Amino acid sequence: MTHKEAMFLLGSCPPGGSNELEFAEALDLASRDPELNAWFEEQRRFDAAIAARLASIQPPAALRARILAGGRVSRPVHWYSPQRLWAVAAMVLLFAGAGLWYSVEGRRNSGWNSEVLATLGDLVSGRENFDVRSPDVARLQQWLRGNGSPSAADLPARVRGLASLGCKTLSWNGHPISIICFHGPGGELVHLAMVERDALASPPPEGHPVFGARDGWHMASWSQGNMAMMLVTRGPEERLRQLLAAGLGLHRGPQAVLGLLVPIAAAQIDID
Amino acid sequence: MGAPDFERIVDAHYMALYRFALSLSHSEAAAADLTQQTFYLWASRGHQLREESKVKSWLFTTLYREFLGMHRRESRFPHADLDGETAELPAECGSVADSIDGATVVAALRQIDEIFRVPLTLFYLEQFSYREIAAMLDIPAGTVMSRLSRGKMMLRKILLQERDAKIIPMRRTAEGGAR
Repeated sequence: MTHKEAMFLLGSCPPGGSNELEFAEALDLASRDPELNAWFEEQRRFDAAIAARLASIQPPAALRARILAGGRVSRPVHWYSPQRLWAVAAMVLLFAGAGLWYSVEGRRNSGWNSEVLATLGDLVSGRENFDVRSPDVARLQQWLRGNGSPSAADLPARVRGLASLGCKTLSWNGHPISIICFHGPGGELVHLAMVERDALASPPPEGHPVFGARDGWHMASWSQGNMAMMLVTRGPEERLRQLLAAGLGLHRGPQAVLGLLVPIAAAQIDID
Repeated sequence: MGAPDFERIVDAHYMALYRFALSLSHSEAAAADLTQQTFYLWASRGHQLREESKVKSWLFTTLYREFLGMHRRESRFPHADLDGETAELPAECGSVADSIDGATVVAALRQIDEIFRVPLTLFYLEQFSYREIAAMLDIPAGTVMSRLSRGKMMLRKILLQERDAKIIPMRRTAEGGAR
């Protein structure tokens, strides 16, 4: 990401901050680039001032009363009829059956997915920071292993070739989860989450990824040895397919997960 | 939806909606009218919206559509020329914003073309994300980012010009008095 690209992105960051992951890289760049940081701070000050000035404008005193009075006489237009209600009820029953089947399967694993997505949101908003930053994924993997966090020995070939941003560890129901963030090939961010396979009631299939989408995220999940892995992006699903097209990595068995008994370190470390 | 719910929604959103309407229209009366009309539409149709989290987006989108229905202009091109979307700006811009009032900001916004003004006002008023603004205006997210960037440039330029227009006559007066 260039200086200009970061300015373009940060210009859309709301005055009160944002959960959008797209800002993470630009914010990260700003934190390391004094000139960009000064520009961004000035932007935020300007945005905050404009937002405050607009918020100081008061509507006419009688407006609220007029709205409430008019609302009382604006009767709802009822769209429903007995025939439509029966049709809706039949549709609800049909979809409820299908939904139940999906939700039983989905709920078992949704916990760790949710935890990962929530943490990614926190990283962007600045509520959380990377545990370690490095453009070298091998160094991040080494740090994760040294701290008892899941780290697959073999990453998907094309993911391994991406420049990394940093990594984050978290705990979910007592199970450690690792996340490594990368610069994606299309300019968007890509994140690889890893958890011990036994931690999941219904781990994803071995050897081939299952694709899904949720809350604007695209995800691909698969199992690899003792590890369950999930590749996540805000970019298109096609990006995930491209990254996994060259293979998911080799299965090397239980030694892929190292040092799980060591507590997760929360310190901020920069190994660059 | 019952009366208490309607009142609660009015209380939560009518001020921000009025400010949005004020930036779109050219008088307080028109802004108040647009705000009222939006809530009347809510009273008659809003009960179909089951997710309360979407009420705010629904209200702002509806107000904007009502505005378009009444006041769409033919010109779709910006009035101001800009060299670049992310050009560097003088450091004094922040202090300019500190020294103005709400009416000045609204007056400056009104000088900006509608295609930039609408996303910019939504951005400042309720801190909608660019994705929410894109959904409300039915335009690509990248377009919203571009329009926010250019809209801010226009707003800053106008505010700087306003400030300079006030300062120069004061200087002339002071110089004339000194002679």
